[in-house]
Amino acid sequence: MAKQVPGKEEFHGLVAWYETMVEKSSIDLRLNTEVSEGDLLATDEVIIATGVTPRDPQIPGQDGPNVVTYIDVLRHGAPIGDKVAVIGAGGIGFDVSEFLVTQDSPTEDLEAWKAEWGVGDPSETRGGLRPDGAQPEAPTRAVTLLQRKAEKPGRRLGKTTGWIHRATLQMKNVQMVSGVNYERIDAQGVHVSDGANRENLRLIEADAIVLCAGQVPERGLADKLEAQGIACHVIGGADVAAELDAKRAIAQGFEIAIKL
Amino acid sequence: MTSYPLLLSSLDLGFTTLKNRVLMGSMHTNLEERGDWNRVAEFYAARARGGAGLIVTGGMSPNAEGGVFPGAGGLFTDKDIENHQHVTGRVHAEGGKIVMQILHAGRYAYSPDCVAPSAIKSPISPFPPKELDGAGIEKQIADIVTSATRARQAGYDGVEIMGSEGYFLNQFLVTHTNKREDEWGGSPENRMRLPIEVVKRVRQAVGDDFILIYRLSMIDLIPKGQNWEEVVTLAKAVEAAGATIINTGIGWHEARIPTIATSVPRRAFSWVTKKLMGEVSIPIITSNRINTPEVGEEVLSEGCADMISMARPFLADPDFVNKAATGRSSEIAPCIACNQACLDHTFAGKLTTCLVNPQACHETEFDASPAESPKKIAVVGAGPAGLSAALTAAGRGHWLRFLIVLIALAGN
Ligand SMILES: Cc1cc2nc3c(=O)[nH]c(=O)nc-3n(C[C@H](O)[C@H](O)[C@H](O)COP(=O)(O)OP(=O)(O)OC[C@H]3O[C@@H](n4cnc5c(N)ncnc54)[C@H](O)[C@@H]3O)c2cc1C
Ligand SMILES: Cc1cc2nc3c(=O)[nH]c(=O)nc-3n(C[C@H](O)[C@H](O)[C@H](O)COP(=O)(O)O)c2cc1C
Ligand code: SF4
Repeated sequence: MAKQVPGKEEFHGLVAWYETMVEKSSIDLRLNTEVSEGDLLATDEVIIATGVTPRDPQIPGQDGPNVVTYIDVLRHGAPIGDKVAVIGAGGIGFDVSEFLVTQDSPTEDLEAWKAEWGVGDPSETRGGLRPDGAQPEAPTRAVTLLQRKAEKPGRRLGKTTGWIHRATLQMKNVQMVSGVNYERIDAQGVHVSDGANRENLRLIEADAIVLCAGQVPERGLADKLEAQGIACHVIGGADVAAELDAKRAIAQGFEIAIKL
Repeated sequence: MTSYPLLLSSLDLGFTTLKNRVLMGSMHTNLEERGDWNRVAEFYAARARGGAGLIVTGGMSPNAEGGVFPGAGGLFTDKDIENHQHVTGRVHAEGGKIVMQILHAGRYAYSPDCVAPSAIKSPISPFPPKELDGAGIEKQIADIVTSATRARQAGYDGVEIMGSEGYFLNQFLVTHTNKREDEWGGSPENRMRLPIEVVKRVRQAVGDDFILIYRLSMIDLIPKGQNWEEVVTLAKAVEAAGATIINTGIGWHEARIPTIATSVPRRAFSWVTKKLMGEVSIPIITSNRINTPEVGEEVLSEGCADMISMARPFLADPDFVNKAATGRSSEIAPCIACNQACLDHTFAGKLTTCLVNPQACHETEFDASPAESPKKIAVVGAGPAGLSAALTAAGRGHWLRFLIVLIALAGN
């Protein structure tokens, strides 16, 4: 899903590399196979890497027809209206917002990218900054990005890249609102309030609401195996569901495999 | 027949020849500061074995005040020289060449003792720098020269002098950070005096047969940065002062324009380096967001540079060049430019590694050699975690049954 996000095209290369390496290895790959416990009994070691599922934010009205998850948007290309509220400003909320406000990814078009960030020619201006500054493409949708935590949105993004994501959304006029309680969702949008005392009840108007409210480990299979006394190693998101954490997932997979 | 004829062609520097046009760019990994020199040596040796034409070390400080943070590594004592000899020896044993980068951070040094052309605090540092007087500037030059001569004693094939990214030498070049009225400030000529003096005196001290790369900021990406005329004048002066090669630096750290992140297009700045081609007669290297042999070859074939630098791609895959040279490009583990395990770690004071390659900077820590008794292993889930476990296990000769359900191969 990450590769659908504008500015994350490099994930295509990573997927292609994994495909190549699996093909060249002795791995018996079985795509689209739902695994049963029986399959696993005949092996010496079982590694469970079943990843994550979206966390249920339990907002009244979230079952409405105007509510979708980030998976519907990024994987299934769900049609989305012009006015969107994104619930959850973690890494995925930022990515989904970028996806929703961007038509063509500037990462794929150098001249568009230079205009987007105001890069000019050092022969014309000092430092190579465009005299007229950054000229971002107009946003394709009006997006409001909401978060529960009363802190600067995107504070937990990468140390050297968080500012880029914040600047991108600001250039696309994404409204970022933090410290809100989600009271309910209805056909008009999301009703929110502020702080512990639930003050300042108001409506964030939206024709579509996208849930990006965190993730929980997908432990269904691991729990079943454990209940039957089958030992397994649980790694990646299935172990700890921290948002953008392929780094931990890959390192954990590697470290398990060198110990077996 | 190779498919990357330019990339894999040698580069004659007169007194020595590089075996290909691929430079492993400088990365301060925080490994040197850990004191495990076998580990440092193996990190670089693995990249030499993997075919890099020339390796540049992470930035080493010339003195205490110029270190990127207090305690940053450098060649200060005989013991330091001995430690670095270990690194150069191992790289040479693998048939590689390695130069040491000398990085004076100026006002970017994360320390209350930092020094700069003028007492103007950087927006990304809490410490206001002290303005150097004339004698202070002479001391900085002398320390850089000493560092270069020690690098030669340590067995390096050369040095790279860091003149870009808004560090010390770069700070003298522009009025944004240099408000001096003596011979080191004011006119463009005066502002350029320091970098040129540094190159001249380093060359005098190290002799002719020693590689001297000058990393030159070709596009500052800050208001009141250099204009192109100044860049060209500096490049010519640096050549005249004795540089062997000019490398490209893009943007100051405080610039509000991304220069290496994953959303930056591939080879986004090779056009800047190309503008300098033909202005000097020494080789020019281009840098930033080149991460496949195809892109590298394209940059060279379009005449954007004589050589390419790749920094992070050598974390993701030490064998980049060898794989490209033997028809195995599709097996090169790609750097996705996420910064999550490299630059984010460096800036947090942690050891650099790589999201795609957890073995980076841990070459001596992990043993992924073949298993003694192969096992049948089932991995369920083909996201990054499952794929990493399965590929590592398969590489160790385990008999693998690997089962997954979803269509999207790499999970999320
Ligand atoms: C939009 C988006 C952007 C992201 N961007 C980044 C980023 O920039 N950097 C970063 O580090 N991380 C990013 N991530 C997060 C990263 O993708 C996850 O951390 C990572 O995928 C977790 O890896 P995993 O292998 O544990 O699980 P997953 O990738 O979730 O893979 C689990 C796999 O197991 C399969 N599975 C589940 N149950 C079964 C079963 N019973 N039998 C067989 N197979 C099963 C699933 O179908 C899935 O394919 C992003 C995520 C999203 C959604
Ligand atoms: C972890 C890390 C540390 C770096 N340290 C230095 C350094 O000490 N000196 C330097 O000149 N550049 C340093 N750089 C910048 C790289 O040399 C290079 O310019 C940048 O990573 C872009 O090139 P790439 O896309 O090939 O990685 C560093 C980069 C990274 C990722
Ligand atoms: S951590 Fe990310 S950016 Fe750094 S080298 Fe690895 S893939 Fe490239």
